[in-house]
Amino acid sequence: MNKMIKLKINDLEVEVEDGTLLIEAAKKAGVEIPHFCYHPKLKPDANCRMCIVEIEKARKLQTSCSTPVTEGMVVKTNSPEVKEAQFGVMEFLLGNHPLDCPECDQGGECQLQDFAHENSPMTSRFVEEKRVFEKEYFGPLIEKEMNRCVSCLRCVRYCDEVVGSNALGSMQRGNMHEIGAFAHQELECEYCGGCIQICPVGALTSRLSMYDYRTWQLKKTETICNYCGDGCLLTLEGVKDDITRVSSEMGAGRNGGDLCARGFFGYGMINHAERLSRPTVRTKGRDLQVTWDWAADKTASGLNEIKAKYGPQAIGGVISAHCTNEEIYLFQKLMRQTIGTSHIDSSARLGHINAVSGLVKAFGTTRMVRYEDILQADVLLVFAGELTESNPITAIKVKEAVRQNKAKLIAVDSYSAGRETYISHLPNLATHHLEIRPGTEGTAILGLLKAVAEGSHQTSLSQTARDKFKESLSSVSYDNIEAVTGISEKTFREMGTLYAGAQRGVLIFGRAITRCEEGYQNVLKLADLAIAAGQAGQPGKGLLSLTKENNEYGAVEMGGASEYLPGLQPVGAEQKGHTLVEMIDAAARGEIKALYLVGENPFRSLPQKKVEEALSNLELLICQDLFPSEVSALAHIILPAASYAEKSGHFTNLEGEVQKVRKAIEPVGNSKPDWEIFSLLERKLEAELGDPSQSQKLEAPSVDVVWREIVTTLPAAWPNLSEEKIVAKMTAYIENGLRSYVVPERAREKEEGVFDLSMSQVLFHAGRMSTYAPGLTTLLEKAVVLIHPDDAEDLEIQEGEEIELKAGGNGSGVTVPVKFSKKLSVGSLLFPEHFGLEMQALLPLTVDPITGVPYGDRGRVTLAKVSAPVS
Amino acid sequence: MQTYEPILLKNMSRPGYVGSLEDYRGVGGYAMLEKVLKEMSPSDLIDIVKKSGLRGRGGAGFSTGMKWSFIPKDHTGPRYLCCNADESEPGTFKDRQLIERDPHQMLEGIGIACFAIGAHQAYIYIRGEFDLGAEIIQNAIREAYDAKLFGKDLFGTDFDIDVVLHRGAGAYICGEETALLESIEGKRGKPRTKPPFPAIHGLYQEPTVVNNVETLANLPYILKNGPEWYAGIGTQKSTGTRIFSVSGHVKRPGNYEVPLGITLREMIYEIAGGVREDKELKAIIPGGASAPFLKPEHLDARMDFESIAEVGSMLGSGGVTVMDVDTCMVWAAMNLMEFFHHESCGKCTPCREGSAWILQVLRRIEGGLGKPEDIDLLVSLCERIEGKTVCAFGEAEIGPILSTIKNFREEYETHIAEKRCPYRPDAALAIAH
Amino acid sequence: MKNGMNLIKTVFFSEILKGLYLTFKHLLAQRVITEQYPREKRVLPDGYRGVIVHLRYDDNTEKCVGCALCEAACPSHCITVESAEREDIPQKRYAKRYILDVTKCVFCGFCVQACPVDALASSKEYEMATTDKRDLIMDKEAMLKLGDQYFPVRAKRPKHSQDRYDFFKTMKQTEFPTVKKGAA
Repeated sequence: MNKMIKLKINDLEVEVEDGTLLIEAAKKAGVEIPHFCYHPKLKPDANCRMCIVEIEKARKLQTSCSTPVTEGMVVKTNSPEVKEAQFGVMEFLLGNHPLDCPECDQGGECQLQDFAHENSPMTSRFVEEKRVFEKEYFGPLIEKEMNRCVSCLRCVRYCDEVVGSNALGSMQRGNMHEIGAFAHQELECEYCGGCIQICPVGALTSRLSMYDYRTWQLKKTETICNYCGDGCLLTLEGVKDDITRVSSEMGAGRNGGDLCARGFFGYGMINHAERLSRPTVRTKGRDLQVTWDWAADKTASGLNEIKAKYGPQAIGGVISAHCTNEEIYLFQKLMRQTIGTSHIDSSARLGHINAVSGLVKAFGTTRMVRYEDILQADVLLVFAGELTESNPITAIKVKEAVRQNKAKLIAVDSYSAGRETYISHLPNLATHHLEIRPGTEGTAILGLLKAVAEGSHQTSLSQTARDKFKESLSSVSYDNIEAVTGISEKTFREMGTLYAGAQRGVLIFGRAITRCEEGYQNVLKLADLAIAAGQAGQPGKGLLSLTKENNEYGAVEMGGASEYLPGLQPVGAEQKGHTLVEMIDAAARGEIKALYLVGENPFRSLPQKKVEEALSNLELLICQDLFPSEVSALAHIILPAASYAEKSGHFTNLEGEVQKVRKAIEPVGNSKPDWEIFSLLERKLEAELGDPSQSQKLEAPSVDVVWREIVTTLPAAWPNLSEEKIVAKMTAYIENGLRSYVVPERAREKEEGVFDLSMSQVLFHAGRMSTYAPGLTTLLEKAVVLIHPDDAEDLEIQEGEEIELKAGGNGSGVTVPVKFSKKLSVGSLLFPEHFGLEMQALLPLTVDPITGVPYGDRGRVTLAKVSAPVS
Repeated sequence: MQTYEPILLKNMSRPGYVGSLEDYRGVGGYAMLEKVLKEMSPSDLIDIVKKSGLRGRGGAGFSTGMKWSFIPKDHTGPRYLCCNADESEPGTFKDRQLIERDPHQMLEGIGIACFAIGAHQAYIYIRGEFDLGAEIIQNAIREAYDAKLFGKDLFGTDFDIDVVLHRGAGAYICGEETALLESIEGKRGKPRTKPPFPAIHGLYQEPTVVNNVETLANLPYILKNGPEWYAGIGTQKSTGTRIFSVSGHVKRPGNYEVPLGITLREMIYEIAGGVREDKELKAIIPGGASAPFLKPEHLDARMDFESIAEVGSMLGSGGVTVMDVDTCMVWAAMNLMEFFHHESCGKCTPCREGSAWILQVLRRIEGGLGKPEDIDLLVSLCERIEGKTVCAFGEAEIGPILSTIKNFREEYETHIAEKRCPYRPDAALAIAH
Repeated sequence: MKNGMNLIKTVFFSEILKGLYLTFKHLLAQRVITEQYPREKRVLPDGYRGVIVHLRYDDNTEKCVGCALCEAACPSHCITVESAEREDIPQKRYAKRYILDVTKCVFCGFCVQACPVDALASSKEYEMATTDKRDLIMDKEAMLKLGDQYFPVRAKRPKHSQDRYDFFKTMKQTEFPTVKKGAA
């Protein structure tokens, strides 16, 4: 706590912390000082001169946005001199302003309008010709109208200081000063929309919603974004039943008002024309659009028939982690309790379950690190090269920690630190970058673990534990590790010392750990690393697993996994049902007769041929989704679900923060929120069983009731574990958990013409859903495979040219255009996972023996140029 | 006519002196740097400079010794010295001569100043247009490095000085010290908000001193002849000599080094030979384009910092521009405003928008489309700029306007009443493009 | 004195006589004051507030920019504006849909006052009787047609706006690809 300072503003006594800026102190005193360039997120620049105030004993008027308070300061914000100065600035600003408020999208929420009403004489002496900027095309999503600009440079500063994209800059001098991308080019940036949000006037507006609304017509609903696990607070703003734009209140929510391209421009899928809108029952090859009642009857009777015929274990259910906690809870209850099957899974199976299983085994909890801990950490160890693209808001926190708080960032990944676009790239940000060979994360962790265990740093770790670590690492040698990863002993030792010596070390890991081979083992190794380095079990230290879908965290906690009941209660080994992969296998074998897929599309994660075979084998396939998919093409019953904007509930983000989702608009078409469908089905199923009283009891009249049930019935430890418990669990884990580590025999040799292909997330998309958002498809419309320019040069490939990829040099290939990217390491290819199913066929699939996670993101391919480019 | 002994321009007036290291050492150059490094302590040095009363020659006239003493003594990180050779003030061309004719004199001064503030790195920020000057300085730096006058462990001490030449890209504003620092850092040359001052957070946020070329060039002589000698030249508060760049309607324009405190009359009529074609004098700008205009009645004002301020102008960068009776004052103000409008960096609102607006009004008046209320409008606009800008550029740009309105208001009125420029009848055509 | 006068006035019913005088004057003057509507039409005073209409500029372009300020000003919520970007002229705002529900309109003229570009005006149209209520829900085309009828003299397009208009007209469409066109 800083010392408090007393000052007087307009005869009002205020007490504020030392170091507070005058404008903030005034705000605290309830005095609003007009301003444009000041923004709490940004460093003061004092260029608009609007916030000028009179300070006693100061030689001239001072800008309150750049003056820190001092003891006994006497400030006047409304003296005639100040008013005159503010009138002056306002007159200057309005001189060349086009005053096109009726056409401007900012009209109604424009700071220039607001302050002009208070601080201008309402008439202007400006009779000269206004300066007019020639119109420039600024990019597909952001509209630039320089005539309206007040040159406050908030956008430029936000882009530099917060996002680190540095895509904007100022050009020209004097009153021809303008904002723009480099050399009047089209904007190429992260499209986070921050510049639009932060612009006090209508100089930067969204083209996506241009002229579609007037600010006073908008109905605003605060909810949580459904794209990635960051859990950003979004304000969905709509005219009538259409979402017209998205914003995020400055400083609010876990994201603090920052958004990414997906959050800001990705709302178009909500009202997309292709949304499934009516329940459909498919009989004898005919699609019948039916009422909800009929569809639910049909579903219930279908499920009951199968249950009667083959027993409840012939039914399986998979739910998407895009659903709310309430929905996942209701679904697992429906499956486990009402139907009686143990085959239940969710899309958290595709990776996050590794993190949960591993962390729970080692620490008993997954809730260890919050964003605040990232900001306060002095060393960040990040095993997620794609962090800025997969979890942009976590990345913003990491950026802030590194840039503002001078944290050390150790990035371990197989990307190269090349920089070619304005998209920030973690290895560029890293203070220490360990570029390892693809697929050798596990070995790199061992290298760090060895360095930490053999290092001489002080930790709370007991000597026996330390010896245990050393012993388990006895068969591991640095030479082997270097042969595999390409990182030297010296580097590992340095990084190990750095991480172990941190005051507050935070370890972040992403899909390279959880969604790739040996995922579960690697999570355990990371846990060992954190324990050995003493970076766990204390406040501000720990591990953070990045999640891809918005509610993977909640999905596991709500029992959306075959091995966990709600509240992470483990299921006994004999009662454990099938995982996703096992369910598909069982369906192919004919053991499972009915599958209920809620928003989950196994075609996208498992080999298509096998899935198709399995699904066509089923007697009943229920598809509940937003959009038509490969599953809905095969389904017997299609139930249209509502998107996150159309329902209430709770999402749990990657920190474990449970946040409220609010309904912004009525469900599109005749769709229903998933929870409503589940409770409808539950009633129908109970009624079929001939127990109407039971059905009455189980009926869920609203999500709040479900949430209350969750909160009251789940074990008390669900929200958080105390430190002592974590330490106790940790100690127990080391006592009997450690095993001896081995390094894979040798590194894979680099073969001529063979490339490492990996599927990854890109900034502009998240899963399949975002490809329905027009804003995002504009940024990245179709699949391209990324290749390092050096490789391309060797193969004589031009950018945009099509290449054919083949697995193992034979079989049928996949043809895609290429794009150059220096962020890849030489010899690797990257493909955005959101497009084209064909690419998956090239990649081998392995299944984790313990957690049953299917790994199919990485493989090796050969590539060949397609001779005649298609024009 | 009284002649004055030049200090800075003395070397270059010797026959055959080309400003090479050999020449400079021939007249005893770099002896002072050696003496300072070997024998003196930084605080002694600062005291000597304080005692000499040397004031900055860039424009503001702030005491150099004081400026140095603001550098925190206990600072552990690097400190920097920046030599401001971005001489872009219209009517000022003194630094250019010092750079091109005797670069080592300045370099020795840089060495001494570095020692005084404990800086091991000096930057010379030279105006982008000084092609020749940049080449000459670069050569001089190379010569000095070869002669082990710069680099590591100088003169057997453990003091290192590195000098780097940084060329500007043609912005007037980069002569402002914080904009200069931004420009050296590789950013857009825009002034910073002060405080913090460069002495605390300067280049790369480290303590920095920015000194003008002429200021630095004076240092070797102050040390050689003692502070008392220097303080004896000029007036009590404005000590030493100063190079004035006299230009405009005079018979002998050029750089003249005179002690501070001679009268304007002596400067114009004796040293510069009087007004061209023996016309009547109309106006004088005593200190570069940003200094307010003076009238013939101010001819007896002394040219030192205080006296010029008393009559309502400033000594600024020392560029004396003389205008004869046939010069249109509105045109002169407009001409200067065109320069300032072009050079306004665009950071802060009053300067950015105000300069353009004032220029538009002036163009209208000069073109014969002025309205009677325009004069008050100009005054009001100037008042709305004054003291409300980030840097001193705001004050600079309104100086010529306010002073011409104050001293030559009737000329504006004539323009407006006659709906044309009485001196330049074709102005309306020219201004209407 | 004053009271006495008042008493006399009351006693002799002077107020009534005064009123009757007016009646008899009209009766005896034999002037027909009933207007033979619809054969005859009344001359309406300036400032009469009839149906709201849309105006055009002299170059036949509509004035309305779709700012929806009229909608905000309307006390009876009879105006609905849906604005959009013009497809032929990128970056130009216009009212894609403009509905005036005359059945709800109270003819207050607030919308006319609110309009920042003077695109709305009160016409002198009052003969709105119809057998179909739907006729009274006017769209922009109908309002423009009425406007043309009542306001044949059109204002000149302002220069600044003219410049912009020309600029966008000449701007090749390809240089301003809009996202929305591809959107569903």
